[in-house]
Amino acid sequence: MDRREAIKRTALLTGFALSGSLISAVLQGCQPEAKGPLADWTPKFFTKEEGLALAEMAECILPRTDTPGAKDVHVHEFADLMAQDCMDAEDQQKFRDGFAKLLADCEQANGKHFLECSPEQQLAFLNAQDKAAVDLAKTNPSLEEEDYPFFLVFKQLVLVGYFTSETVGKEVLVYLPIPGRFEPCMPYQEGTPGWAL
Amino acid sequence: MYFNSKGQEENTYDAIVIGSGISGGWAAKELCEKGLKTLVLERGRMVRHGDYPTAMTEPWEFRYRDAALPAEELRDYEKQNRTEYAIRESSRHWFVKDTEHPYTEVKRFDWIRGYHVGGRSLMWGRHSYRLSGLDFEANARDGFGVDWPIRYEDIAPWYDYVEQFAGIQGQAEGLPHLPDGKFQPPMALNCVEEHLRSSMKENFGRTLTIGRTANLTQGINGRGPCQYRNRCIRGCPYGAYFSSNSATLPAAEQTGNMTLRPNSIVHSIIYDAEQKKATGVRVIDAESGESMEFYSRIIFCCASTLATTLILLNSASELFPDGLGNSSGQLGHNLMDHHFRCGARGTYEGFADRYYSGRRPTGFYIPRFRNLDKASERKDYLRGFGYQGAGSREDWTAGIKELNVGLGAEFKARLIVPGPWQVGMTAFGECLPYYENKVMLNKEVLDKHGMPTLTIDCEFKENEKAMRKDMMESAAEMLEAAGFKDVEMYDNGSWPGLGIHEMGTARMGRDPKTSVLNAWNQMWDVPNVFVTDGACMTSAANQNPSLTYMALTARAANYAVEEMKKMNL
Repeated sequence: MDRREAIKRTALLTGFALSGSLISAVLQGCQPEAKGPLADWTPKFFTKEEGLALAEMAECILPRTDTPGAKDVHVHEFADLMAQDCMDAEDQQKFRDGFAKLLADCEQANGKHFLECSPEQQLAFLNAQDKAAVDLAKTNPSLEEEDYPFFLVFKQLVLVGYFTSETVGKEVLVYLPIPGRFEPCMPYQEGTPGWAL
Repeated sequence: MYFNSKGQEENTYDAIVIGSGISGGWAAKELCEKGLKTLVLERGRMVRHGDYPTAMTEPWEFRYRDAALPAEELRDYEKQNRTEYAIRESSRHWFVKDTEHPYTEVKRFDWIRGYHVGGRSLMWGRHSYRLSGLDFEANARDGFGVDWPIRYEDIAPWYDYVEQFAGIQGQAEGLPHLPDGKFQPPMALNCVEEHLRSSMKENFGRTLTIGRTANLTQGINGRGPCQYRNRCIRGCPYGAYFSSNSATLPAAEQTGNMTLRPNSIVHSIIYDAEQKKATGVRVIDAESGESMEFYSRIIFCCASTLATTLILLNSASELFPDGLGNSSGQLGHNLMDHHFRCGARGTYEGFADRYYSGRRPTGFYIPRFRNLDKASERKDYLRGFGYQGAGSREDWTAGIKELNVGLGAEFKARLIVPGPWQVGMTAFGECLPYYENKVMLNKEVLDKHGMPTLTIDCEFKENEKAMRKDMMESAAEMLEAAGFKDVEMYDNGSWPGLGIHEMGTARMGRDPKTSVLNAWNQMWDVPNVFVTDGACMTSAANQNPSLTYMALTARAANYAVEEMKKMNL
């Protein structure tokens, strides 16, 4: 088998299609909330409205199911802090512009603000964004960092914020801070969570 | 600059060791244990064993989850951050601020440093391999560089000696070109690695073995065994990996013969033309800025490859206008590093009902298999490479890769459970010794103490580039033969320095006209000065070099003390 051929073929196979039964599960987690972790939050980098939209988008990416959702572990606060403290002025501007464009695109697609869209509209919009961003990255493997699709940068931030949180680290994943020994190849029950850290 | 020479007697020792990293720690231990009153000079701050502020910190306890740092703070670490792993909340305190410690690059060179007691022994990669007969004969065979003045047999007993004290876990494989050592019991390979090992043996007759590292599997000398946290870079509170702080410096201290002086920047070595030897060192106190002198019968230069050469270049005198011990004109030349960040990865569909527990602080190692003999000879390049790699199951970070489309409940559920097995490997390739790869004293750019700095002019050349192609293709070929899917080759680019195996610039040799040091790491021109850090290396081989520095240092210290007893020094 030709190696380069093989890479191309797998790239084509990772197309995305959500099955009907999964969509309903997804929608449960994609409900705006008036109360809860967002009520007393004042973002530092974003405006309150942007912050709320960011929190709902994060929740759509990693919704609450039988495990906590993005909002439960304050992913929005993490993303806001990272943007405020860890991006230089240029990256901050890019992030701000990218987020503003995301909201504007949603407005254009649905005729209303992201927060006012139905859960179905929110999810459809974000899936389209995700697919477009992934397609762009896939068809331009040597993409410069500054041209990297905003949505993927945002998604990364959400994933890091979620999986490095204490709740997810200790209660969702399996937490073993000082293993003391190494077991190279033990039985694993499929479907059970992986290690934190 | 005025150096206070008052109190000559109280500033006089039997030996001075410059630097407290891997080589300096060994020099201190050996010289102190042999009864020499030894002054160890470290340019950075004090770090006592156990003084590791982030050793027990969990990701969520870091303000930025150890995932990023404020842009303002990163500006201090522009070059150190080229490692892409060092400058994080958990480990940045072990790396220098480039804004405080400048150097000049003619071509990109990543000089990654840690200025504190223990030096880079605190955050090294711990892989510990012996060089072999093949390596010590390499220059003589193909004519690049000069011949090593020693052979494997000369250093083998010293490998035995340092391995047993440092504690190297590994598996004996009986390969002549990667000699076995005095190992602690090996850490285990996981199932996908075992699978690859069998396949490679069967399909190629090649070896895959556990990465031989300075991590204890059995406690020794008051140091505890590995707890499998894989947080070595932060400093190990159990002393389970070898560092100067956990191992050699405590041993030196125990003799009562060591004086350790942190915050002591060596400016230059004092040469006495009448006695034809070095009499001591000039030091700048990093805190007070005060200049002072210390004296001794012998001096061990262990400041790290480039820092040692900087000190020697800065020690010019009437007799040695181009730097101490530089009558050959070779000082500063023949700089080498390993080239890497090149290999392949793939996923494996089997073993879905298998997982592991514990975070092993090493991966696997594939010893060199090219240019060993006629049968493995390559037409397109000289010398060879070895691979470091690891097998694991994918975790949530797989969700960050751009080719994984998805969001929502199913996406989240998928990231919570372990993904398929994957193996990745990167090669470490030998770089030939080129005279024109060099460092020079830069008197235009001074550091904050007024010390001249270095200009570095170094690059990988055609031999290295040709090798990289094979490094990728051979990795992919072995993965495919073992049934891996989605095999992907990569070359992320390699710049000298980034391997943090910089070596050469004061090479050992057989002839004073073409080398700086003799077979005992002793300066041809100034016999009471020894250089035992990476600067001494005559060729680079492809193995991680620290174990060789340890062995050469212990060997040179033993020789120096014997010579002192014979009144030759």
